[in-house]
Amino acid sequence: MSRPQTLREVSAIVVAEAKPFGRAIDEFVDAFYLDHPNKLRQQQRIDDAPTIVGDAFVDTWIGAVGEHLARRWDLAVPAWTRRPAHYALASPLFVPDSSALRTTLLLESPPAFRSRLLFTFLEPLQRARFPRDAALIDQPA
Amino acid sequence: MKLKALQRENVDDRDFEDAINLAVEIAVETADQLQRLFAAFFPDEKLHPNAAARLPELVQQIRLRRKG
Repeated sequence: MSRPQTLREVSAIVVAEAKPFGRAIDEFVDAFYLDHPNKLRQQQRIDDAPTIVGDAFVDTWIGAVGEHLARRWDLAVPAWTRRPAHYALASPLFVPDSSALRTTLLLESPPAFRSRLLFTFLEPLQRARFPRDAALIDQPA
Repeated sequence: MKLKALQRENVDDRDFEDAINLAVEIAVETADQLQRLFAAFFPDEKLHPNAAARLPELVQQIRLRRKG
């Protein structure tokens, strides 16, 4: 299957078991960053509601990515990110799952992730195609 | 360079897994060796603190893999 162009396509790829979720989400994020600074095109990539995959982690991560990308790049947060399936975790998950980094992740995780019991880096979704002219999120004081 | 990539997340942590496999292949198994390897590739950079924090668990996994 080709590289996903929208978050909805990411979910379709996962449902079809066409490629691993991690690979699909990274490819989608690459496509999103390549649109920078075209906000209309970026918005279109996150607007369509993804299919609910049925895996609590995957659905929650997709919701966090949709909300985070919208907030991070000054887009409208899609309403679908508020669906209960995107808040499906019963206990916290750390990404990466590193005991050495847990305190850091607890402190840094952006709102779209921490509100879903996901704890990750201050500036998640960094890829080689991350826009070079964009300032990184500041460390909280 | 997989050590540099450890400063960012993957949902499947595949950069960490790749780093283990590569270290096993080239027989690197201490944090000091990993730091020197990084410095050889990036002489003007310091390993990001988030990546450096993972070196002990990386070393542990490399040693487990070598034993296995």
